[in-house]
Amino acid sequence: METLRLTTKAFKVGALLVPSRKHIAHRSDLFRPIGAKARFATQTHSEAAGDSPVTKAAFLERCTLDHVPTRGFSLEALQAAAEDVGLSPAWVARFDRGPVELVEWWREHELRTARVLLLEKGDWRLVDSTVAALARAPSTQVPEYAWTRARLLSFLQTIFRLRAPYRRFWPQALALQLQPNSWSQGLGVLTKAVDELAWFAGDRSADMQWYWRRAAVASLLQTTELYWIATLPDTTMLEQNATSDSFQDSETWNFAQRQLADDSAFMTVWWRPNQNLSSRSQSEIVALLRILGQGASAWARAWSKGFS
Amino acid sequence: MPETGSPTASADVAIVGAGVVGSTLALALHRHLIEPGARILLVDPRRAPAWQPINDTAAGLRTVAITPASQKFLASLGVWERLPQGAITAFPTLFAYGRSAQEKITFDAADCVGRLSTEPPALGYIVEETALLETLHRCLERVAGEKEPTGNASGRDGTSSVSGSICWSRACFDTLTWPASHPWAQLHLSEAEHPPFAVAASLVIAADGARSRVRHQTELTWIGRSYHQRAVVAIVENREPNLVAIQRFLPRGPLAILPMGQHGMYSNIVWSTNESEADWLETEASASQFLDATHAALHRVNVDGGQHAPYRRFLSQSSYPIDRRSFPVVPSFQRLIPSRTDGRDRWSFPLHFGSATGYDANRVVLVGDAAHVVHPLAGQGVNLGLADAQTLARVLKQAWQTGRDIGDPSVLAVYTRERLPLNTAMLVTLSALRRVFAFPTRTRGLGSTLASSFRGLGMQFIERVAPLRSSVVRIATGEPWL
Repeated sequence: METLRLTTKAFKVGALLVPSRKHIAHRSDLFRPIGAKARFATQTHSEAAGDSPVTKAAFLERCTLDHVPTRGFSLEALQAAAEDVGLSPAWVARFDRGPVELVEWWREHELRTARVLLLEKGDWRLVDSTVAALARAPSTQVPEYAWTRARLLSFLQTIFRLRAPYRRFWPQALALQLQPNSWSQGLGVLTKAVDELAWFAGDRSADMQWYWRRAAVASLLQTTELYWIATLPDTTMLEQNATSDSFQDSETWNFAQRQLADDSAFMTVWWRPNQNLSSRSQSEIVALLRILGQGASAWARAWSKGFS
Repeated sequence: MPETGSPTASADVAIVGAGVVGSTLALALHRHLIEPGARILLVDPRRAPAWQPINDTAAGLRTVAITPASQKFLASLGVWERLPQGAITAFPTLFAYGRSAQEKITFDAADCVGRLSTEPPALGYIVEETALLETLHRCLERVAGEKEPTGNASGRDGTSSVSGSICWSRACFDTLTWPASHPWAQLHLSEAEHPPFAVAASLVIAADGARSRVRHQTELTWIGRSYHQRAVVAIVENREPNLVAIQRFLPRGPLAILPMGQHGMYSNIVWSTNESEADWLETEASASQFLDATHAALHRVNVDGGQHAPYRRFLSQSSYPIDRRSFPVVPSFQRLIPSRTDGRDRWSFPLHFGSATGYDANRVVLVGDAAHVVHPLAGQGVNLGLADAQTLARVLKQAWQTGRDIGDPSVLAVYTRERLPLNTAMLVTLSALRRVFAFPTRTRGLGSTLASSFRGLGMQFIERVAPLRSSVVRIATGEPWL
């Protein structure tokens, strides 16, 4: 797990948003060692006076990475993080929707991290070597189904291994996102993840296939997620950290492989040939709708031609 | 009659296509457009073959299902009484069932609420198409022969008769033009060994089928789609007499058994299925294999779609004995009856659906298959065409008796207003019905079981609720329900 923490900490891109106005008493870097409290009253005073150098994003990051694995996506984690940074616990009132903002931050963060790891840096250490070998090969040299399966599985593996510290609290995270106040943002994050995953798996379509493929990926992602939280081994956190991996050789992995088998519904939808090419006829429903439309206009024209 | 250049021949109504709908319409117009009599020109080079009762060979493999409403129309024209009795089979019951044992429904002639007690109880009539065409053409020839020698629709020579005249031209239709010099339309016809000639017509009726050439000349287009399926047609002899019309909704399409012959000793099989299976049934299967496949398709319970033609692999297993019948009302067959005209015992036609974008254009009106093509699962194609003919005859009669120009757009609009919604509604309903019974195409376990249960529930509901059942029967038998 140490490698994981280092990996996630190493890619805190975009989270360091320092305000433009430099204050004399303001310290420009926000990297303070964990556990260090504010030592000077002027620091807290300056934080309270002007715009705070502790942005929401930075605070969420600190909270999620440090406190959520122990306290869950909860108010306690937010308060502990506030105390950690040196703010009053009342500062958590800034998050008016509550702990769900932690969940949202984490989901965007895992997506960013996976994108950077797999696409920009080519860092495949979170992916199994066999799968990575297949996924990194150029798509023209490998059979299509195998390549798509390898890409999807490697992205899934990256994301689920990044999430491993939060496995115990993931049901809480999903429940938070499903509440009426926040389900729309959750849906937005899901669509972003689905789009990212579909693009990574090689979808470059520009027609109805775009929608069908993303629907299939969304169902794959959600069912794998549910399987992952349902197959949480009944051990304490220490033992869980001691085992090699929460994803490999587990039921979730087998489930994902079954879902992506060659004759599965997913592959059928993914590789369904495009039926709407101009050389082929349109679907029956489209033809019936056109008939209804033309019939309605012809009927209206018949009424306008006069009466006999 | 054959003239070149400007037409000297003219007709009041020109009907292109002398099929069932075209011939019926010609007879109806002849009967109604009187005082002064209208000159009707019928254009079709084809002749109907002679019909004889079915014993070891049949005159033709096709039959049409005539609803009581169409039967009344044909009787009013004097066609029905001239049909040979051996060609008509009245069926009082319709049994429709699906893939699983719970999807079944029975319709009876007693459900026709509007039926008079003097009429024979029948849900519909199965008539051999050859006999119907031959009878219609005989009636046309009788009518055409009765007229005065000027029955050649040749110009305005001053003679006008009280009742109209029908002239049947064996020429082929070429093109249609609307010259600026004359307010009427011009048909250009051509015949073998004759130069092409033109006939001026006040109204042109396109009754020449789905690929209507007349429709191509107008601005009306066709919106349609092929089902990529074919219907295999055959005539078989039953082991026992059967007067129940049966239809099984298989996953790929319906399989219909229509009683034929004087006492229902023969059956007409219409099996709609995919192209590959239809090819196998029509060309590769032997007669006994065809009969075995039909028997298996009718009696096997919980039929699934299968990836490939299921009956082929089933036949090799020979696991379904011929004498085991899950549905006793369904007859078993003993032999195929070939056709007399070409000696083939099986025939197939492609299935498609579609509708024209309008039913009337500049002095042109579409009837029958030229206007709409539906799936044959309810036997409604010919009946919609006959209803079109009936409506058009009534509309033109009203216009003619008030001295109006029958090619006027406002006259034709009355016909369009009345028939277009009904035909489109029937088209959409039949397409929806086909989709309901085709779902799911491959067995997917829970999905297909649930679909079967819902379908069975719906069918039992319709069967038990009497008003619903009689409304369905009223719609299917063509009585006015709107």
